[in-house]
Amino acid sequence: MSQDVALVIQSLFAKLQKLPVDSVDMTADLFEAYGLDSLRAVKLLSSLEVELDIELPSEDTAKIRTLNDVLACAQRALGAR
Amino acid sequence: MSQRVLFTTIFRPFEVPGKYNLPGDEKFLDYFSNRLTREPGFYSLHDDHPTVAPHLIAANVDADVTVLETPTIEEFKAELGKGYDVVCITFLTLHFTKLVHMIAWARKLAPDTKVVIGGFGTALFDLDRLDVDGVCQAEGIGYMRDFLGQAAAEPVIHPIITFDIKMRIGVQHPELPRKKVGVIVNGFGCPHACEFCSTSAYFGKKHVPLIRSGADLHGTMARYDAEAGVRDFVIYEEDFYLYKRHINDFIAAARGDSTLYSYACYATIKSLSLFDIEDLVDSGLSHVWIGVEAVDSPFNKSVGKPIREVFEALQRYGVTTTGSIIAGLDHHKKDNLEAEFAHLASLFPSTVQISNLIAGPGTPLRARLGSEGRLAGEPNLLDSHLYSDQVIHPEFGKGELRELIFKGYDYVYDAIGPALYRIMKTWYGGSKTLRASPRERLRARGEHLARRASALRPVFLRTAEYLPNDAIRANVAACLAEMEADIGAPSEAELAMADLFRAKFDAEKERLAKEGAHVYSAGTRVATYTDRPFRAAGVPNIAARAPQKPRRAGFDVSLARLHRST
Repeated sequence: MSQDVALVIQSLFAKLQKLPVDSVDMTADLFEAYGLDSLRAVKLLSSLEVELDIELPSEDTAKIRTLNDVLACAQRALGAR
Repeated sequence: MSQRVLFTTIFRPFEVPGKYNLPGDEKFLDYFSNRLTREPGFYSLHDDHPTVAPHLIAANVDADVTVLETPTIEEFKAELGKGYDVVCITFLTLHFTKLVHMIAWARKLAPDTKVVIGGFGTALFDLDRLDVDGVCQAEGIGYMRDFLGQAAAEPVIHPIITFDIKMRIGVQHPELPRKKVGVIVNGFGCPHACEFCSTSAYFGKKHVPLIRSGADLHGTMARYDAEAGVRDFVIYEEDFYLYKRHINDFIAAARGDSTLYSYACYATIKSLSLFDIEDLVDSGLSHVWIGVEAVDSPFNKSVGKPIREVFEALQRYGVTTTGSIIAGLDHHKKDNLEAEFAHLASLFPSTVQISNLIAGPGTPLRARLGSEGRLAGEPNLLDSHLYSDQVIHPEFGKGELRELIFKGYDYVYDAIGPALYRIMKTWYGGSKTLRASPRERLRARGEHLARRASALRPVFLRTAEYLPNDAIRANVAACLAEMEADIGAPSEAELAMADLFRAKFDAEKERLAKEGAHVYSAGTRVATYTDRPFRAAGVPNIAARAPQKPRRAGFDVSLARLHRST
């Protein structure tokens, strides 16, 4: 389950950043390592919400720095569903 | 084969605080008691305003169109499954994160459907980076005709768009009376180019006419009357009286018709100074929004007759007014802001707007304040509205102006009473002037105003204790007594209505004590346009000219300002 969600996140992020999926580092700082800006961050989180049909609470998403943080948020949201 | 187009607003709810809404975001659709003007107390007005542009476009494109207003996200998702060729989403700045969410759903559930975004929110950001097929940043009929491959020069018609104005407590008590009003869009943009004005900046400081002549405008009113029984209108145009030939043509057309229509509009001291108020009243002017802005307004639009003279002349003829001021102009200090509130109240406007100084994207003000280092960093987009605290003012701390603005609304209420009382008094005062006129049409308008003022009496006959203070109670009582001596005692029906108002005020007081301030929740509205009304025989073409091609302009807002958290 956790691996499936991680794969979804990696795949969405790769598409957004136009990168190969296998080059995506779940532990890297999204803003420093990948130059993610706030618009892309919103797009990533919205796409994830739609893909998994979940709602990510804003108090969680405001603290996100890595894709592992995104994964943790998504797992909490899936657990709460 | 016909193309199928869905127009939709942003999804609701607006009133539930959380990721997408701040507390009090019900203001989106409630112009009277939240978004455009405010008032404490039980007498405040309310409307559930339609989103006009989608209807205007839908009636003029060669497609089968559904217009969805304030759907839930589930309703939007269900609609996406119906196989549209194009989905158009209109949004305001504060709804940006909802927009991104809706685009994501559209891409998942309708991957072959094109997505177009529009509305004043498109002044933000480099939106081409969103996953959309079109960004409409101009007059929408022309844009969508171009997008759909339709000839731009086909006739344009004005659809019938109506809404109800009622009292705020009428939301909880729907049996209270309401008034149906028609919306007419006369044109867009404004050449005054005041430095703070987002509308002017959005349309490149130019006026973009929609209705080509005053006769066509009057004809549109007559069509509303024939098709929907509506004779009261709000005309959307930033400075209606600025276009003198158009207005003279309109006045002539109105005088050639025995039916008396009434309209509300937006105008400036500058343009109002071009006309004799009596001629404007003859054309149906019943309410006008005037940007007072400040005691010594620094804006060119305020040049003309003295503002007090204009307000008094309007009120003498029974024209109700909205006076709006901006708090946080450069010269404002803690010790001169109350003088602004006092000046506004002294003009006796029927409704008021006191807004914070907002530096919208693309405005000269934003450029100036940016160069002066006076733009607050990282504003929360959810908090983008009239009372936003986005400008740094050396005299006021963060959030201080917003607090003072709400005190300003209280000040006006305490000084001159509820808007409904001001409206009743203005209508009655105007009826006295007009009933004495040598001109038959104006006398008829005077009788009409007397009936309107009389219809408002029941609101006040039994509710004196709900008024803000003894001075206002005395003023209201004096007005009621003068009306009774002039136009007669309230009828049995009016007295019964007075009892109903009293009962509803009491019920609302009890409900508030138990449940707290009420929260308005919008419902879903659906309309369809499938018969190409702009091609129908006998329907007049109102187009001023071939609609504008879309404008491509850069955006001056940093992406770093996009802030997701609440």
